[in-house]
Amino acid sequence: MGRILKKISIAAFIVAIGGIFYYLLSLQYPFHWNVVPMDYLKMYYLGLLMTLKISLVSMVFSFVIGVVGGIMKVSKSETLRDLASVYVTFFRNIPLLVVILLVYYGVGTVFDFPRFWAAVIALSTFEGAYMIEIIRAGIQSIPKEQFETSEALGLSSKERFFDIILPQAFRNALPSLTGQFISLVKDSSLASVIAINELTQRGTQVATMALASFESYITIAVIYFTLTYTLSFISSKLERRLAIP
Amino acid sequence: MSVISAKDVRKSFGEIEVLRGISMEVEKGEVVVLMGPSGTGKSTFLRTLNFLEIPDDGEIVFNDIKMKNDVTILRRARSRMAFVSQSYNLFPHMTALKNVVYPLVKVKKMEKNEARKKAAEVLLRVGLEDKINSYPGQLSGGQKQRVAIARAIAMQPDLILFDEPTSALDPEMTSEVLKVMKELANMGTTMIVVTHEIGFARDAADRVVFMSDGIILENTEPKEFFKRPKSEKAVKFLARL
Ligand SMILES: Nc1ncnc2c1ncn2[C@@H]1O[C@H](COP(=O)(O)OP(=O)(O)OP(=O)(O)O)[C@@H](O)[C@H]1O
Ligand SMILES: [Mg+2]
Repeated sequence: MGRILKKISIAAFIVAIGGIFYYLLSLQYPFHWNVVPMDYLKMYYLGLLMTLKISLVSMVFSFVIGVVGGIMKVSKSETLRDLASVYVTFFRNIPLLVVILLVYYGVGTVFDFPRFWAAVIALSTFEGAYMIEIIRAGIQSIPKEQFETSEALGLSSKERFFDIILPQAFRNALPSLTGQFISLVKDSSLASVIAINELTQRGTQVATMALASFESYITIAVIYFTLTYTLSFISSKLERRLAIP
Repeated sequence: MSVISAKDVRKSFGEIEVLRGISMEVEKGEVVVLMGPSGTGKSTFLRTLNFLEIPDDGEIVFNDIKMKNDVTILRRARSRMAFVSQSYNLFPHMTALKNVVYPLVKVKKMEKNEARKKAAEVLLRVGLEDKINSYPGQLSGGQKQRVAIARAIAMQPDLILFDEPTSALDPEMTSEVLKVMKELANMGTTMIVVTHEIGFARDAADRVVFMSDGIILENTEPKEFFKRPKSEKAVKFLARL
């Protein structure tokens, strides 16, 4: 009960602050909500679909990169550990925008793949670097006795990893993973620079067409917020469901 | 024929030689208690027996298997040699029952229903029939250790290694765990137990092995060891207990 009450009061606070701002702004700026978003719902809908598509596909790939890289990071082989470290260091030190441009104008022109895939590759590899660190931390938070007990029981390394380590590591990592997935959804807005018709791009198009920037950007902000908030809601549900008594 | 024999086992960590030539044999049905001051290498020695620590030198033969760092050999040996340590023995994401069933199915290749029956039976033996569906997080320290012991006996091993199974427990839980271990001893289970519990050593052990600074100083009957320790170190050690 306390938690729900807290959530409601936070929401009320945000609404109140937003309301005050909105009032002050509306004295200066004539909002035309009947035009934007109302006349352009289809555009936003298409944008949202594209954002979801890019995000979901990139989530899958970045998670795979994270698991593979995270395992490499804790492996016995120094070469594998170093390889994963180089990957992480590389992607953590360049802006995502630059990665997207590099993939699209660089790699993309060599291999000639559609811009959708350029965006997915850029997002996956970039977010994957962060996932690697999250999975590594999740694995390392497991007491070493869990590895030893598995070994002493005679489990194979495959059984140990998939049945013992991964289920525990995943639970430990879930909150951070959610955070990273949320970043990914928000970061997907950068795909607009290579003219992918995702939500931000559609928002800009509507803003120019209808000459209503403010309304359009507020609209996409609300959509992004709803999307990411839903994600964290689902994740906390999942966390509670998976919680070990 | 001995169940396990160690010959001149040596192990160093960096510059420090922790095991400086340990030899001992354990016969079928024997209960050997391993004692010694802290940092003496008792855990390290126990862990070389199932190759959790790979010895630098020497030889370990278990049931005619000459232990070496080879996946197939280790899997075969470990499936017949159980290990119970101080804590974190159980998998926290599995119920007590599943903790016992899982290795039976994976390592012993037992059929699932049969494994469940077996698991329920051993959990009953350690007095935990009402905790079958509890997760480790819902069990007391003593109950957790008893589940770990149940899992060990379910595997029907030829040898059980215990590394201070009660040292993380308060006295009441300690006695419930020791009771189960004594029953095992009486049933002829072969075991090597690192413990500071003199009562257990007196009642249940066939032999006490006293280790100090990486070597075995005494290897004798419990009565003899507690009454007339030969080495100065053992005298001092017993005085402090
Ligand atoms: N993995 C390791 N790396 C480095 N040193 C180690 C390692 N494991 C044990 N040691 C060292 O080896 C020595 C013996 O340790 P061990 O745990 O075998 O002693 P013990 O007799 O079991 O002591 P206790 O009664 O406190 O459990 C100690 O000095 C310890 O610090
Ligand atoms: Mg020890």
